[in-house]
Amino acid sequence: MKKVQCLTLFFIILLSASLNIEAHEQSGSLGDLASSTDIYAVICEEGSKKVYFDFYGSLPKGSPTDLIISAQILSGQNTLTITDPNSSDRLPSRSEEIESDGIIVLVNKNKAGKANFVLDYHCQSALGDHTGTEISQIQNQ
Amino acid sequence: MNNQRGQLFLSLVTVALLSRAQQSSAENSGEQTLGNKIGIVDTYTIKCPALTTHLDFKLRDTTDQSNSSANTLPKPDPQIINAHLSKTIDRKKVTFDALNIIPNEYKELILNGGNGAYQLILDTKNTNLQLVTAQNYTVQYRCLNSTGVDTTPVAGGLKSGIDSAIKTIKNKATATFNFSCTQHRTIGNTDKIYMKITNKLVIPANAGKNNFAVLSGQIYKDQTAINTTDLVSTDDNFSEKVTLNSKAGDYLAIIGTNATNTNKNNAKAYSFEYSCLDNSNALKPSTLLTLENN
Repeated sequence: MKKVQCLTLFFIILLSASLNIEAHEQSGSLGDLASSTDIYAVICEEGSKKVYFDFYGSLPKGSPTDLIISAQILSGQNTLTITDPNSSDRLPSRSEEIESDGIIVLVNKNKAGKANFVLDYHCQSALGDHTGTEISQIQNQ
Repeated sequence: MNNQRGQLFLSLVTVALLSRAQQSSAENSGEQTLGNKIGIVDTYTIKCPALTTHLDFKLRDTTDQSNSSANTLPKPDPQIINAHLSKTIDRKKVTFDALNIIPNEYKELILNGGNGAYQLILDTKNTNLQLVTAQNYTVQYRCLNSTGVDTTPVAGGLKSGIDSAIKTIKNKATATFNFSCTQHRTIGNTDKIYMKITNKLVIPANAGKNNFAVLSGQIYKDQTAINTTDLVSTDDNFSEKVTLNSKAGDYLAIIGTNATNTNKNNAKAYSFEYSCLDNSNALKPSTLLTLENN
């Protein structure tokens, strides 16, 4: 019995470790309005130092081909913006690492037209090890 | 006495008009600047007092464009088409490449492969992916003997010696054409195939501006946000006015660009207008604090 419990514990630890090193992706979409903005909150496990972040955009049929998607990352007193320069190539934006201090991510675009995007993010320790990461959408436009 | 009453009435009307004018005019940030470092933003707190129901916001790119007119803007790297003409000769594939065929130019290819099957593959490797317009092009081919006289060409849908109808290739796509040159009963054997690939893409007049950033602003409060962009930086118009219905308190304004390079023309001058308004759209006095100034 003890052996079974030990094995179960071992697998739980393994599973937990594998979850921690997973890349995290969140897909979303923006509506027609030029003002459309989606908001996400990224919550990091205690002890995390930074959040890695990039994203790529894609355009549904009929959207303007020069529609550009940007994301603003708010962390404590610091804010920065990231842009995917081409919403048609499925290549990611440049990546950023920002202090994991109550991360809020706004996603929006430069003009009217529908757009899709995939956020790629994970919390990490000071040594760069992936740590527990959760995301919550708080506005969907 | 009547005169005094008249003056009093006029004063009241003036005060009322002045008050109304003050109520309807927004507050202004004054002239601000943002550098050209990638990813930076300016941030502000707009403090809206009690009884505020919503905040109106719009911004304007006021960058002096006099030194960055269309003539002086650096041109972006062009879109290109590459052509690869090949034939298998003695079990070895021989290829002739014509690379970097830019808009409104053509390149010629000649492959001395004799009679037989030839293949042309077009691609867009190393094109500027920031320009996403599909490129138009034409293909012309001829099968020639050793003195340059036409032999017998065979190609589905293409006529020898004249440009094809305009075809289209998207970024990262390829297009393949198969040709066959055979012996002519009087001219003799084919010595070589001739190809002319013309990039027919018409470059939009404002293509260079694709490299330059536009100014955007986001307003965020209590887990709600809205965005506005001044798409035309060369006019005096503001962006679309946006409204966030988040009552009294601190609204965060984020001003940035969608720049992905450090071109000096991506540095911005700007101003924004904001109004804390109550439920009858009367202006409430607000305070603007600068948080980050980049």
